[in-house]
Amino acid sequence: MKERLMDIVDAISVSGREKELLSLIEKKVTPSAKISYDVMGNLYIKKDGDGCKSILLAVSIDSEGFFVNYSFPEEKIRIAPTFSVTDYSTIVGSKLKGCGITGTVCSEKEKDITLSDIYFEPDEDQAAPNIGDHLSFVSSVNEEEGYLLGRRVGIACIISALIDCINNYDVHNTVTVVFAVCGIPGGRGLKTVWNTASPDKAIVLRTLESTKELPILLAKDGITLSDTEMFRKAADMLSSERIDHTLGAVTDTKRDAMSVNLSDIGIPTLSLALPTQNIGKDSEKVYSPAAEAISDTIKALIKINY
Amino acid sequence: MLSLKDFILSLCSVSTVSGTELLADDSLFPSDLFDKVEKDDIGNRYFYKYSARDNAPLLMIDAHFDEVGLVVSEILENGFLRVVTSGQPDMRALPAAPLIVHGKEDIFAVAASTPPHLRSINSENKLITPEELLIDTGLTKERARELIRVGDRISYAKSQGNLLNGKFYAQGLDNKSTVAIALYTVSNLEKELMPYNVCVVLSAKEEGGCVGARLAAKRISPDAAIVLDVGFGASPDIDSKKCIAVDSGAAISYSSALDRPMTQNIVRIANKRGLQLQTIVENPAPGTNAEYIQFAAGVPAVLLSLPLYNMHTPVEVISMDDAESMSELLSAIITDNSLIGGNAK
Amino acid sequence: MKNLYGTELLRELCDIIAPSSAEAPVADAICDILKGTSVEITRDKVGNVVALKKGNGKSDLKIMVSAHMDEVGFIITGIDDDGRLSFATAGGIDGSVLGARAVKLISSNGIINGVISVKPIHLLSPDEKKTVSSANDLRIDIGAKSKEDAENFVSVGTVGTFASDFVRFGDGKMLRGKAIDDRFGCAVMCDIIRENDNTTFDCDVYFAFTTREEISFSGILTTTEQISPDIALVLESTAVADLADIPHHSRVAYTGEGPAISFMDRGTIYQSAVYDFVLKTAKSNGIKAQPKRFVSGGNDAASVHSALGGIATAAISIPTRYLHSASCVIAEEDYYSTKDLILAIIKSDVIQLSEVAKGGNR
Repeated sequence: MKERLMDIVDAISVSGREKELLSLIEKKVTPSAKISYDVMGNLYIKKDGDGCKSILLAVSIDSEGFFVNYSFPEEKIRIAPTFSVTDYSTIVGSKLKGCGITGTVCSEKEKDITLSDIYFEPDEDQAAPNIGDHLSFVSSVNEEEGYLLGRRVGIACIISALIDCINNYDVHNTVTVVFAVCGIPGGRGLKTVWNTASPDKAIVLRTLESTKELPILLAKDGITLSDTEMFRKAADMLSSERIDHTLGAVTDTKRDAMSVNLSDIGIPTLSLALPTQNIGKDSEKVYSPAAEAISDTIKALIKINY
Repeated sequence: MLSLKDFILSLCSVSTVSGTELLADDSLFPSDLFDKVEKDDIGNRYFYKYSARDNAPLLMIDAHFDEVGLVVSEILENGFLRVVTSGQPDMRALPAAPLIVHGKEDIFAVAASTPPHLRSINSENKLITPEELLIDTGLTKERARELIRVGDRISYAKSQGNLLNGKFYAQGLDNKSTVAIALYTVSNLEKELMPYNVCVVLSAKEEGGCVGARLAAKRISPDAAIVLDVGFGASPDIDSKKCIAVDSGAAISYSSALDRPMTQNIVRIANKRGLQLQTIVENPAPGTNAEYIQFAAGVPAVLLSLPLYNMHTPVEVISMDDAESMSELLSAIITDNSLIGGNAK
Repeated sequence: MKNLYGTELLRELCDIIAPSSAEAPVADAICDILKGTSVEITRDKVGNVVALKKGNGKSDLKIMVSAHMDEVGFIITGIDDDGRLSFATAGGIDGSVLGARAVKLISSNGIINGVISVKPIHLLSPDEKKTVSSANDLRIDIGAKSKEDAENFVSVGTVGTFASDFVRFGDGKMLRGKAIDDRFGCAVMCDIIRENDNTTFDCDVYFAFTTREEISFSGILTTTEQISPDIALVLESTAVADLADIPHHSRVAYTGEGPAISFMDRGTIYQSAVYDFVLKTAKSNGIKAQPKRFVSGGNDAASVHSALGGIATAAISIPTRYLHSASCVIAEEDYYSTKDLILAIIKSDVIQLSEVAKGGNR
C-alpha cells in the first residue's frame, strides 16, 4: 500500500498549481481512458460504459502550500500561504519544495509569530525563486501500527483508489473521474465541474477529520444533503456486498467537498468520506484497512443502477 | 465690502496654522474701513476704529486668527513627511485627509491611512497618533527637500459646502467665522454711536497657549475685552450643559475666571433689546483667550461663543443665522454705554 | 466628456456620485462617450453596460475586459429626531477614514451636501480619545432642523458617497480623488475603444462596465454568463502600502511601477497560464508591470474565473494608495501603462491567445 502512495504523496499539488500531481495521475491511468483538462485545470478521465447511466466521481486533490510573495537580492524571501493559518509557529521548520527549489520555513521569533515574521530560507547553492513561484510541503509515507502516516496521505489513498478503479474495473455505467483543483480555498475547481458536467449522478469523495476506521457514507456533507435515493441504494449495496462501512452526516464545511453550487444544479449527489486524522498536518494518518476498504467501496458504488 | 458669509468663506480659504498668521494677505481685510491697521512681531493684527467722542475708553475685541494644523518634523524617502501637531487637530479626521503643505509653495498632500490588512490585531480600531502619521506629497525625496523644510506648516485643504437651512461647512470656521463677524460688525458701526474706541485684534497663536491675545492686551491696555470664539454645537450625544444649541444665536459664558459685571451687563442688554443670547457655564475657565487676557494682562474680559460642529476638523459647520445673530448682538453691546462698569453681584 | 481622454476623462468620471446600486449616471455617461464609435452597446436589466467591438473574423476567440462603475459609499439607515442621519457603509470603508468627512447624498432634489459629524475631541473620555468610531456610532449632518425637515430631502435607503476633489499633485505626477476604484478601469476602456475605432482586432472584444462590485454582489457574473468569454481581463484598483514606514515585503506593489498582476488573492488563485502570459506580454512590449504581492482583498475575478466551465482570467490592478477612502492616490503613468498592457494583450497573436484560453496550471 505504502508503495502505491509514495509518488502520489511526493508530487506537488499546491492549490492552483496541481499540474505535477495531475500529470502523475495521467501517467498512471490506462491508455484506453479518455483524458481531458478544463480551463480551471481540473483533470477528467472518462471510461465509456454500455449502460445508460453516467456517473461522475469527483475529488479535490489540492493541498496546502505557499506562493513566493517577495524575493529580492540580499533580502529575506517572503511567502504567502494558500490556506488559512491559525498558528504560524506550527509551520516554522517545515521543509518546502517547488519550481526547482527546496528550503525551509524560518522565523527569528519564538512566539506570537505572524505572517510577516516568517520567511523562506532556500537550501544552499540555489537560485532565488521568483515572485509567484509555488512551494509545497515536503512529505513522505510511513507505516506504523496499522496506520499510514504522512501529510497528504488521506487524499493520496483516495486518488490511488480511483486510479485503481479506472484501470481495473469495468461497469455498465459511463464513469467520469474528475480530479479537481483549488478545493481548499473553497471548492473552486468543483464549482466549474458542476457548471459543465451533466452526469446522471455524482459521487464526491473527500477526507474527513475522524477517528472512525471505516469509509463513511455521508447523508449530509457540509451544507449539502446527499440524494436520499442514492444514499439508500448505496447503503443497501454496501451491506449486501458485505463491504464494511459506516453511515454518518457532518456539517463540517472547512474542507467542503460538495460546494454550494451543487444545490443550484440539481445533480443528485452522494458523499463518501475516508476518515483521516490530522488533515493538513505532517502528522496526518489513515487507518490502513480503511484505505483498502475505500477502493472496494467505490467499486461497489459505481456498479449501482441508480 | 463682501457679505458676511462671503467674507467668512474668503478668510477660510487661507490657511493660518499657528505661527503663520501674517502670511494671510492684507488684501483679505477691509482695512480702508478702519482708522488704523497694525501688525506686531507675534503675529497679531490690530484694526482700530475710533469713536467720535473724546477720551473714550478702549474696548478690545479679540478673535484668534490661527487654526490647528501640523508641522513638518522630518522628510522621509518617497517624499513622505513626519509631523507634530500644532494645537489639537482631530486625529480622527486625518487618515486619507487632503492637506496643503505650506512650503516654498503650497503643495497638495494626502495624510496616509494604513491599509486595514496591515494593521496589527492590537491596533485595530485604535486611533492613529501624530507620531504614526505619514504625509504623502507624491514628490521624490529630492524635490521634497527642495520645496519643504522642517517647521513648515500643514493645514487641511480647502473644503467648503452648503448644507440646509443656512448651515455650511468650511475648514477654518474655528475661528475665522468670528474674526469675520468682528471685522464686519465693527466696520459697519457709525462713529457717532460708539461710546468706546474699538480695537479688533486678530490674535495669533491661540491654539497652543493663548499667546498672542495676552501680549496684545498688555500692549494696547484696553479697559475691557470681549473675546469671540466658537463653542461646541449641541447634539444628543453630548452633555447639554457643555454645549450650545445651534440656531439660537451666540452664547455668553459664565465663568469664575471672567468678569462677572460685564457678563451680566451683556445679558441685560440682550434682554432689553430682545436679542438672542444663550448662556453656558464654563468653570473654572472656558479654555480660550478670555481668561488669559484677564489673568495675564489684568483686563476684564468676557467670552461670546458661536456654536459650531466638528471642531478642529475640515468639516466644521456653523449656521449663518447664528452668525448674523451674533453680529447683531455684538453691534448692540459695543454701542451700549452700560457695557463697561458696574459692580459685581 | 466625449472629447476627454485619459486622466482628464478620469477626473470627470470620478466626480459622478454613483455608489453600488446607483450606477446609472456612470452608465449614461459611458454610453454617451461611446456614441458614434463602432461598438454595439447593450444595457441589461441590472444596470451593466457591455460594448462589443467585433473582430475581423480571424479568430472566434472572445476576450472580455471589465471594470465596475460603482464606488464605495453610504446608505442612510435612519433619521434621528434632530435631523441627523444614521448610516451604514456600502462597500469596505474602514472606520478610520470616515470621521469628519464631507459627503454627498442623492436626494429627491438632486445632490446635497453633508458632513459626517464627530463629537468634539475636547469632550471625549481618555478611552474614547484613543478609538476609532465605526459607522454605527457616527451620524451624517445635512443641516436639517428636525426629522421632518430631513425627510423633505432624504429617506431611509438614500445613498451617497464621499465628497472629494480630483487633484493633480506631486509635481503633477500623482492623482488624488474618490472612486478611482474603478472609474480608472472604465476610463481606460473608453480610451481603448475610441482610440482604436478605425482598426479591428483579431478577436471579438467585449468591454463590460459592471455594477455592484463593491458590495460583492457584482453584475459581472451575469455579464460573464451572457458573453461566455474565452479570456477575461479584470481591471481593478489594488490597495498598496508603499508608505515610508511599511516594510518592503508588505507593500503589495509600488505606485509608478505599472499595473500589478495577481497570482493569488482572497477570491482566486489565478491560472498560471494566464499570469505568466500577462507578465510576459508586458515585458516583451516594454510596458511596466509588476507582480502583486501579499494576499489581500478580492475582486470580480473570483466570480469570473470559476463561472461556467472555468475562464482563463487575469486581474490587472492599478496600484492605489488609501483605497476606499476619499483620497485614492495613483501615479498618472500607471494609468497609461495599464491601458498599453490591455491593448497589447488584445492584439497578441491569436494562436498564443488560444493557448492562454485553455487555462490550466503548472
